[in-house]
Amino acid sequence: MAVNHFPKEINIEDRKRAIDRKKVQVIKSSQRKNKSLLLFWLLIGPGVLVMLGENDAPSMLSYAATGSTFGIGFFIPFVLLTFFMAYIVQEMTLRIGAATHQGHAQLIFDRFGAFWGWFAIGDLLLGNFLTLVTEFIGVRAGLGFFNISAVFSVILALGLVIGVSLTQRYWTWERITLGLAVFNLVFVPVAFMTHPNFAQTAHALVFWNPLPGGFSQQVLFLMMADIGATVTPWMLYFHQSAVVDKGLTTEDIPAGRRDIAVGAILAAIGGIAAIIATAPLFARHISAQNFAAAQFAQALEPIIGHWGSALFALGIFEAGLVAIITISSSSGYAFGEITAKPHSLNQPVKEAWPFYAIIFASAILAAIIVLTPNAPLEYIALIVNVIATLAMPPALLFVLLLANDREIMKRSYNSVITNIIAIAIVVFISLTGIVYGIVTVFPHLKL
Amino acid sequence: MKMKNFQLDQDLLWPADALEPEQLSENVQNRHYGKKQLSPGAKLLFWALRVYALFMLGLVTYQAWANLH
Repeated sequence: MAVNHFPKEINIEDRKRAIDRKKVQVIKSSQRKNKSLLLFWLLIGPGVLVMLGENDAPSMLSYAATGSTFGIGFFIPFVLLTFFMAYIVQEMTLRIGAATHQGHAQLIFDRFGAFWGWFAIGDLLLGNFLTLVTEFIGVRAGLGFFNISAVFSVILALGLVIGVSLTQRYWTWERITLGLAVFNLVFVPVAFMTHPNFAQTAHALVFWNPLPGGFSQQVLFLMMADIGATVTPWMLYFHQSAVVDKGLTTEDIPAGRRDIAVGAILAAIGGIAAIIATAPLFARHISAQNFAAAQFAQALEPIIGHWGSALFALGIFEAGLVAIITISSSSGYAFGEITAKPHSLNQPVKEAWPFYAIIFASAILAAIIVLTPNAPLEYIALIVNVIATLAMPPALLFVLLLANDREIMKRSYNSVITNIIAIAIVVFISLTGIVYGIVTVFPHLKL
Repeated sequence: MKMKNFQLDQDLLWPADALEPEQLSENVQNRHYGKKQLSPGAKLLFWALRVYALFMLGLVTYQAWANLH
């Protein structure tokens, strides 16, 4: 089964990864006072990136639609719940990656065969493509607020995505993307500019209300969109591949958990801030149900001023940009894994050109769609998270089976408690989808 | 990150100093765990969730099409 030997030639990918790992080993064996902080700095990355990467343009749009439609209430604690679900799911992919040193797509093909593997890859590629389109919508809309043309915005984003990938070094790629991802927190000052009612926010967090208008099809749609804003198939593939590319081992699982937790907390803060920031639109009865990103910023201008709305628009641009980098990488990793071609951000372009070609081609294709006149972009932006939620139950089944597979997981397999919570997540997401299906087929049904 | 008295690139003569054998890219590429035997229950669950996902995807696509026309 396992073929492990020391290759005769030193591979450049292994050498770069070994340098990163050696730094970790040196710090671990040192007596430095700031040892914990240094280790945290060295080992943080995949978890924060996957969580902040998922606070992408359509996600922020979903949160903004939630805040402007229902104000501060039921959805703030609901978003916290979705990030708890995301933590549980990503923690499993961390362990699978650290224990097997293989990507998610490669493991699915290995353990479940090509038949189920192609279904999984089909879900991933469809979801990734639609999501990438919406990220470019976010980029275009965000910079559109500053009167920057759509073509220039899209080319700028493409240039940044290609430039970051061409560093040909996982560590550099990860640090640059982390630096960009932190800007997701610009929604926090925007939320403060709206002078939120903290007592009302605290009440909502504890009591899960109010939910104006009661439970309706629209609530269900936004619930699904908000679930899709935190748990989606690309996250599983990206996170596991990034864990492998970074070189994390089972010894690093506790550090990996901290990485995911920090990412989940930062992303939850960003998401809740977007809800709070757009809640004044609900309070002022401004119908923002079908707003695109730039329109949210424009609608907020009379409330939070030009600088506040400019920050909101910048936040949407950043959200789209970081997600284009991470999502296109997940497509590249998955392609490399199932075709057994080199697939690492530590590989030079000439050695792993199909991997880089998929990253660039998926981003370029989505950019072209966004610049195509009369494409139904706003509807794609709203349904993409719903589609992600629908594709999640089959994807979660793969994760659950792999995380319980003792042959590949060795001592890192799922605990009983993790299994109970993970099964509850699958059931909850599936049931939300089924209820959504029922009310779509029977729209006059009272909930 | 700068580290005194440690020239990483020069001191690291061989990646195996820092990587587990299973992490070496050649081994990752060549390692195949083999197909797992799925229980009838797992197979049923796979099919059920697959039918669910495809049906719901059709429903969302229909709704999108209906909204656009």
